[in-house]
Amino acid sequence: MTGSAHDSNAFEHTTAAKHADWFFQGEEFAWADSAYAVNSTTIPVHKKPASLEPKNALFDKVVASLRVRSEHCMGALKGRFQCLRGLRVHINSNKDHYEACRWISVAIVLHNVVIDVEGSKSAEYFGNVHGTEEEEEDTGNYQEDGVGGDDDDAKRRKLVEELWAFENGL
Amino acid sequence: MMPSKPLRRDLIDSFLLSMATWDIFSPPENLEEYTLNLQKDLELIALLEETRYLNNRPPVPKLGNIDLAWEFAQDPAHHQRFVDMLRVSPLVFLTVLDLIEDHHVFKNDTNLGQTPVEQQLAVTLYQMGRYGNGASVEDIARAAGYSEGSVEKFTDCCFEAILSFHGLFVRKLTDDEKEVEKNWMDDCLGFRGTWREGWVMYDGTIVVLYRKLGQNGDAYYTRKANYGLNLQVHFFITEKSLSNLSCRLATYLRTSALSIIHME
Repeated sequence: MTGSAHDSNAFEHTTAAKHADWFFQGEEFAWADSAYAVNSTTIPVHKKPASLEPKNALFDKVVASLRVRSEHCMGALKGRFQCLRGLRVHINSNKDHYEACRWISVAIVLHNVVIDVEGSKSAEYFGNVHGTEEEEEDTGNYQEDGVGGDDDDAKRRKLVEELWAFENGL
Repeated sequence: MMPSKPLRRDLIDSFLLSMATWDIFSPPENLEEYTLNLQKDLELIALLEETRYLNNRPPVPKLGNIDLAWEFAQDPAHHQRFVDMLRVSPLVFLTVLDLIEDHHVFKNDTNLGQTPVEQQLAVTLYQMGRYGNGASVEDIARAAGYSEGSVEKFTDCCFEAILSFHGLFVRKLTDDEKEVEKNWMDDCLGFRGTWREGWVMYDGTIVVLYRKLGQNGDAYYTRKANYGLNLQVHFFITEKSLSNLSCRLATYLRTSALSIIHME
């Protein structure tokens, strides 16, 4: 995907989105941030004004604490392979576009090799080189009203209720 | 922007021009002289066409320090320096080397041996750890002590070899692995519910390009006023595989509206 693409648009072209049946079984789903549209396999945090409701706010807080990890991971990846901070590929043709993607793929494969060989501790080694602030700059998300009109909120409401019930000892 | 003229074309053009001018100011006196001139001129053009290198090719002085890495690897006290240089620990380096060493891109039929794979891998990793002008092929070549052309070849070969293991390291979790993720979620929350079914996270990031592109520049333009690729990553979350990044990298070609999905 090119940089002008919104996260949720780019996401629609991923395997998980196109072949949700293959990727998820039963009730399985993925967590996402508010840029994504909600449905039964993608559960994002709430957008305003829904996020102001106490039940939803609690839900968002817990999900956000889980999601911090993904930002750490991006930081670790870009800190280790800093070529991803300014890819030196001249894109003049479709072939060059693949070449640029190759750099990213190789970095990801090597990142996973590090985890398999040495575990997550060393994978995070470069995490603070490319910290939260830098990642904030790079993240492809932004708030946009009206993304994904056909929201299917049922699964998320269920999750909100479950958490609420647990926290209040019901 | 007009592409600049190759040196060879330029030389031949100027030669033709000078020949024409010469003929105007001192035309050949008889047919014999005319044929002789023509023959000479044609020979010269042929020479220009056939000479492979038109410029002087002085040997480029090279003094790389990539071999320092092997020194660093000897002593655990210097492993830190190895990691700073090649971005992975000596152990990971050896693992990757072991994986790719026998790949066919590093084999050829001639008797001229290839540069040792560990050198090629070291140069590739060194380059991957850098950005900005420090990541230019010229700078990498100088630091590594190889020619610019070699650096590009090394990177290309190593990428091909590493990517042949893409499916091994970037893949869907097995049911058992999913269960680990789900159990982690239970422990984290303190209750067991539909929440445990969320074993994966999506996130997007922009991989910035260092300059504007020649093709479809606008498609790559991001809201942060730079040019980049949108990378969609799926993460797993447990302690064990904390930030174990299984990525379905979705690349998108604007012109053909074709989406390429890297999957196992």
